[in-house]
Amino acid sequence: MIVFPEDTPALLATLEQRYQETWHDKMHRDTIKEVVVRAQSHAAEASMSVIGQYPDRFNLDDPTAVTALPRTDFLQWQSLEASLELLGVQGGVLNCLPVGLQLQYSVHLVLDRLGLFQAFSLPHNTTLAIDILEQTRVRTVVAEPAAAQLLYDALKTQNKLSLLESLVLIVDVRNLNHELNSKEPFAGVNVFRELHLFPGVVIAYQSMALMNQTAIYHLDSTYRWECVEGEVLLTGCTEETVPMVRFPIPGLSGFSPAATNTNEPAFSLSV
Amino acid sequence: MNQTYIERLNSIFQSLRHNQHSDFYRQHFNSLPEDFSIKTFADFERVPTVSKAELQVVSAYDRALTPAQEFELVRNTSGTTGRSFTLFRNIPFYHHKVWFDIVPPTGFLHLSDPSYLYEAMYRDHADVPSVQLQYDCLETTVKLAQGLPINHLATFAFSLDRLIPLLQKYDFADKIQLCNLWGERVDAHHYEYVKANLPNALITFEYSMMEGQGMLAYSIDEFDPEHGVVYTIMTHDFKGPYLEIVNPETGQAIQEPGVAGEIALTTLNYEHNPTVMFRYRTGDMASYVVYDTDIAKRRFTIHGRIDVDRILLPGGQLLAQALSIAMRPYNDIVLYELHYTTKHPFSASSFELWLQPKTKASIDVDHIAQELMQQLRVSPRASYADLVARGTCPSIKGRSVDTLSRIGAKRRLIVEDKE
Repeated sequence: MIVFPEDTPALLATLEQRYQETWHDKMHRDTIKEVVVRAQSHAAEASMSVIGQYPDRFNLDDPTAVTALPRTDFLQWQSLEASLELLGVQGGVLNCLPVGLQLQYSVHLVLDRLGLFQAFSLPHNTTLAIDILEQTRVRTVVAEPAAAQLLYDALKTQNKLSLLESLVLIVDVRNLNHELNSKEPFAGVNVFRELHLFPGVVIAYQSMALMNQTAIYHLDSTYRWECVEGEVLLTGCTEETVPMVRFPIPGLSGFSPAATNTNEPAFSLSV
Repeated sequence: MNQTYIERLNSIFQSLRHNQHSDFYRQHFNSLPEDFSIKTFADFERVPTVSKAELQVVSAYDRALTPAQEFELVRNTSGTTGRSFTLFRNIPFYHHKVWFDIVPPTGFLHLSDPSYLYEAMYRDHADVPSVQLQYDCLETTVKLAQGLPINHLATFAFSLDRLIPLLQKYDFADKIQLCNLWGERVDAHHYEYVKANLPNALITFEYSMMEGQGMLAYSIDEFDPEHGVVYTIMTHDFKGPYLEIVNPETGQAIQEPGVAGEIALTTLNYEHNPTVMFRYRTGDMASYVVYDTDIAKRRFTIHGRIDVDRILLPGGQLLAQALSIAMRPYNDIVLYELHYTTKHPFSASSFELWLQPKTKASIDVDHIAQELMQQLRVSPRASYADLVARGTCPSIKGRSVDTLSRIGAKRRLIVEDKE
């Protein structure tokens, strides 16, 4: 069994207090319904208002498959903030994420802190996206990989690739397989990837040292990662994390340390 | 009341005329004497009007049209029309504040791709639950709101027939207290459908210069067979613009009820408008049902656009001029007509193109349709566009789209229930 970050007595005590008996059941695997119930009771105990609900997956085609997760505060999305700072973004950022993911305000809060503005385009509307890149000081795009690919191809066709300097790719962990198998398709563009368990719930991210790599990430250490017999299980450690106990990450089978030129531990992910 | 309007109109006029950072309005007002000031409404009506095209172009580049210190955002239209215009905006929508004052929100459902509404909501109501709906996965996103105390709905009028059954299915219909509709056209279909299915909702309508650039809120407080939907401006404290209905050719204000003209707006307060407008002609045809010197008591009905140079479609737009160019290669088509259709009362504008060939055998309609779809960038998947050969067109409607920019042309081209 591999665990990240390393267990400390303080961490184990926190988890024991937060999840009590559930934590001690090593065979326990949270279902999404258990996560929802725990998030609701967590909000009630802390007297926090539920101010929105976000989907538990990126694919919103099937209403019966989607579960609404309560949100008690807008996610801080520190990884996005860090990426934009590292990229030295000026002006604004183009958000091409589908609105149904409920992420516009989370992006807005990040940009507000950085003094940037947010422009929008629907994921498939490359015409508008290119207009925005041409008319404004926007050179950075936040998008899912498929939408980014559409935009990149359209820019390439129109010989306007110089308009796009950076991409922050929001990767659904369920689609990681596709990312791992893709050869770096965004030549000439700085690409940071973030791995999301649910939309807006970042579990792994990249830094300057990992930029443009498809398979190596820093794991979010506010979650406890366990790799047990081909399963990767996630437990929320801090108050800011989604309260879940050994939630199996869909589509992920393992992680192993990767050698990089950064002090922060990095891992190769396998599906 | 009138004197306050006059003072504010004059104040805006003087600041635009003497703004050293903006050439546009200084040049625009050149025809007026140097010492001109607005002391009466008659003076105000001497000021030349501004067209939509003029203001759209300059607003993108002329920052002096709004006070520089208030720039904090750059906005584009949503792109459902396929084009974007960069605008500089100072504060979130004025009209949302109006809604919030009338019906305090406990939860928002809003459909707008992409949405700017979130800013207005969260800035003042960050603790109010909200869910953004997405048109192509509407049920999933409605379902996300289950359990939240939703009482505000904002949506495209054309989405109502899809959305309202879902609101009923997920038990929101009786709980909606305010339903704001946006879209190119709100008519009796929408009004009656909302009234019947959201029984507790006040129905309002957003009036925007462009998408995401709302300027006025209207309440739709009446529908009658003679006038259609009758609007009242929801305005307070002079925060909304001053509204006139003007003769589109002379710019003279119209006061007589029933006489059609073009809506013109003038900014009364810098802080509550995205772009400074001075007698800005919106392109919408309207007439008063009731005229009153107090703007808040004016009630009017909107007839449609003054021209049909642009037709909004779900997922795209069609420019009449572009259609004209696209039709040029087809020498075997003697005449073509563009017809709005009301087959889909809740859809965005849909249209049919009627073609008159030299002979019936001389054209391949499917091929032409496909070519036009591609050239005009109207996506068959996303739109209700329907290209249909109808043989000989009725001569009474024989117009090419090149002539459609003429005032009132649209009226002749609206074909209702022609089947």
